[in-house]
Amino acid sequence: MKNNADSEFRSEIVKNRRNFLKKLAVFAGSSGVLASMPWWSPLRAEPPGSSALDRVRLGIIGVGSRGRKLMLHLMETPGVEVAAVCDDYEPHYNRALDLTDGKAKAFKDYRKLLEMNDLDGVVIATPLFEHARMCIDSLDAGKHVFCEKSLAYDFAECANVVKAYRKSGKVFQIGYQRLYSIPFLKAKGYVDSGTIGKITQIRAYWHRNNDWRRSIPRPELEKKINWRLYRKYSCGLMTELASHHLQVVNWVLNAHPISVVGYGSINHWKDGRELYDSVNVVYKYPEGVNVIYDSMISNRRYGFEIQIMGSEGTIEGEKGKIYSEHPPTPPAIVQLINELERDILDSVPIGGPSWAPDLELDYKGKLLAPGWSGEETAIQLTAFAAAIRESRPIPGMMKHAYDGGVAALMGQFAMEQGREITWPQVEGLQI
Amino acid sequence: MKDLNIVIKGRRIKLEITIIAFCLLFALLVNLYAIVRFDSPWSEIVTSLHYVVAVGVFTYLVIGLLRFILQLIKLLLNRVKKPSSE
Repeated sequence: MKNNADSEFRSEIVKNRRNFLKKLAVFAGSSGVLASMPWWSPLRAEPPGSSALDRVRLGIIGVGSRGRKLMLHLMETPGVEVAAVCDDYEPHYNRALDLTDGKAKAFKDYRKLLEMNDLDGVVIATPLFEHARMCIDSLDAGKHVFCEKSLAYDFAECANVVKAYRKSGKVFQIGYQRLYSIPFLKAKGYVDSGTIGKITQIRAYWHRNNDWRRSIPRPELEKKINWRLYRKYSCGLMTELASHHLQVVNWVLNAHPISVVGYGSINHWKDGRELYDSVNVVYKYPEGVNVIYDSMISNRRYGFEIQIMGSEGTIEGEKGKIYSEHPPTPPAIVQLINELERDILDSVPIGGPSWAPDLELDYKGKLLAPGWSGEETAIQLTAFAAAIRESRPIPGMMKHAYDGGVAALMGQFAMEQGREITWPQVEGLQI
Repeated sequence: MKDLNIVIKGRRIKLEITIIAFCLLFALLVNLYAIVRFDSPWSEIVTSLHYVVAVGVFTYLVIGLLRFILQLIKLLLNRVKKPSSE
């Protein structure tokens, strides 16, 4: 049972979030934002009132780690009611039911959840191989859909989701949080205004140092719990991590990849998994821009980053920083002090290395959005609920879902098949 | 508790103000030299004033430390001299 302190805490969060939404509505209403990020348009609406008409009733399909996080966010989002939960794994099912104090209806089969007439939409946070089927069934059942990334398991499934979406006229949202990040919005602005010159290369990486496993209570649950490691259920690092950065690349370059080549291997976690623990791919984009992406789970020194490199500057999206190719020189007195410091503290080299001028520039750059505290998921879910309330599809969202999802799959297929994979042409597909 | 009365004489205040003024002047000259040396805009005479103050205060503190050490040495020498004169 929840205690009073818990409910007071939650109401405080809701109050704060309501104030946050008011500010967001003003920000989202500005023409600059809507021109470059039309998917922010639902956020222009005033925060919802407390009447039943303003309430959006949602069902969560898949309440594992990500689904649970989304559920907690939704429970704090004004005007949203988590009316149903669904999971076919008993511990997750029970945990989700507990979180709603038993108020939500609980299901083990998502098709039963879709039969609820008073449900406005669903949030799908299941393994990749189930995304397409669940999205299509939900849209066909007249539900609005929020689906976690990546869109689907293969090219045909991605196209089928798009077709079902077009037919339904419902709201569709994909779990690419960077679409709702202020630093990334600013980054896109700097790219479009030419501040960092012509984009010549983008480099992105996502490094961790863990086996990517979850503990299993019984051996027969291995593939159910650790589905990310098995090919039948997932495309591993490409769809679970790379997909995020590939979406940013498509957005920044206003294009999708032409083709991709790459190598992948299982070079560290040789524990029976089927999907690579190390991936290296190079995507070819229009105008000679190459995108180099790598991911590994055996070293976390460099963490994750997306480096957008132009002739006049660089943007590091995850750090939220911009660096000029011509950093401003510090005031003369500071230069003099730095010189004295170097003379006193530095060792005397016998002969300086010839590559010294090519060492990384010692320049800390500028923050893209000072004070940004990272509320992407909250903003994204708020936009989803607002779009449902308006009953108007989110502009540009399906294109990001499709382009990002297909790009991630291309990388996986290129590594598996050991050949260049080109962008799939699907006749008559309108995104 | 016993009261501790510290008396700072006018002469001492005058001396400290003179030293700090010299430190600030020194910092200003350093800035001028740096502007010429690094071919920076003359506007930095004004825009770098906060650095000038910082360098001035730093110099004053360094001089203060040196003066303290000198006083300490002086005191020790006096103590060493005293017993031999008794």
